[in-house]
Amino acid sequence: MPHSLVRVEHVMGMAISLDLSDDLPLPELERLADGVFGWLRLVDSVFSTYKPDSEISRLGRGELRREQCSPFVGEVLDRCAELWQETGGYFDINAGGTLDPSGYVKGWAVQRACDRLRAEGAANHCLNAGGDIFVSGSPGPRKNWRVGIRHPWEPLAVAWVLEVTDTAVATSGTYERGLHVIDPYTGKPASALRSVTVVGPELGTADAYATAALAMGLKGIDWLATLPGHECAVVTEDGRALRSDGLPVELGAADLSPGQ
Amino acid sequence: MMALLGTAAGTMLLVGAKAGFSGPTDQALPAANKAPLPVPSGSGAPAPAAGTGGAPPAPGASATATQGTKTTAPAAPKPTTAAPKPPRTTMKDGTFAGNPIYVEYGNIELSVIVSGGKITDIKVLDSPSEHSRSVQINKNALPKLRSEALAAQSAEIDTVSGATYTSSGYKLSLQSAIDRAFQA
Repeated sequence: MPHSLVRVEHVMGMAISLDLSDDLPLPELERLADGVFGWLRLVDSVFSTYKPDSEISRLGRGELRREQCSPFVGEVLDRCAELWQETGGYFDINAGGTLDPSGYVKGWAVQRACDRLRAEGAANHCLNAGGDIFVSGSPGPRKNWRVGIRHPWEPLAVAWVLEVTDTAVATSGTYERGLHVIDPYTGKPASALRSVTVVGPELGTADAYATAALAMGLKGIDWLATLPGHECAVVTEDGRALRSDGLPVELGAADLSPGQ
Repeated sequence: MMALLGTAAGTMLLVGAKAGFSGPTDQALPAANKAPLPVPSGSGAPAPAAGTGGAPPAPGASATATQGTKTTAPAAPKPTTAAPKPPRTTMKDGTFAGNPIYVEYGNIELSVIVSGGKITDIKVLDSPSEHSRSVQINKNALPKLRSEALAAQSAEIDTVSGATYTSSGYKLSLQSAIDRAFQA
């Protein structure tokens, strides 16, 4: 029986689950998992807007200069600035009135963790941070990971199933935390789209794109269709489901025997 | 049960299938997918559907699938306390495209009314003003999103992408339960 390890921890205010499917000795898998969650806790301590003493909180209040922060704070803020431009201003880390790059940080942190796992020889894994996912290699018996996109009205149903690997899948939606994404041009919560999923090579970017599209409302549908190298799936608040042609949805589902 | 692709695979179409999350979706989703766990209290009820004839979205998993149901109404969700049964695959192959419809410029937006697993009506809607072509850079950038019913099968899911849960313990528990529920 090959080894594998699944661990779920509560970090950054959400459930984060790590599935290591490499056939490595269990102590090695534990060590790798420790490294992943240690990194995520470090990121949280630096970027949490809920902690008044975090670097990002102090930076936002002007008590720290950027140069005084951890090196990757500047990297994150630079990328957020690029994403602000790429999204026509809809991905805005200042939209809520205070400096809050959380919409990028989570995906970025997961991506960094997965990159490190691959560098350490654990190329087969899945890391899911509150619904934003990176999958790498193979889950074991199958070639690709099967990633469900949650049905935005039914918590235990999926709307699509993707078969992917070495791929990021990010979903932003209003159905869990309510209307929490602000349209920076109106200052009001965006409500036209209920769920936006973006599939691409890098999770921080995919997450930012998904959040930006949600903020755009209906015109986010058209915008998503213009993104090179990314695929998407959208459910509108009035119940329309749309996806890009290239979305890697599973094939041959009818051949799967039920009840397995 | 079928997945229904209410459109047109046409290149310049952005077609909206009125999937409707009550009748149609309940029809399309395998019965075993019904939520055996409580709906989180934070899961807001959907906004009322526009009066286009589509069934209103179902507020949560316990909604009945009576409106607009013509055939093969699914059994009501069976509450269970143990881990949910593995989802079953009951759909036929993939999606079914309608006849292609081509328009010269811009999009035409259709509403496909799905009931009892069948398309019962297709309506042409006025495009919302927000759907302006102004965001289009050029022809190559025309949207190619296709519409379809929310009808995925979910056998052997490794993980689930979704909107982030809040951090209450209840939802942490729910998240891990969902992960397990979808793992074959």
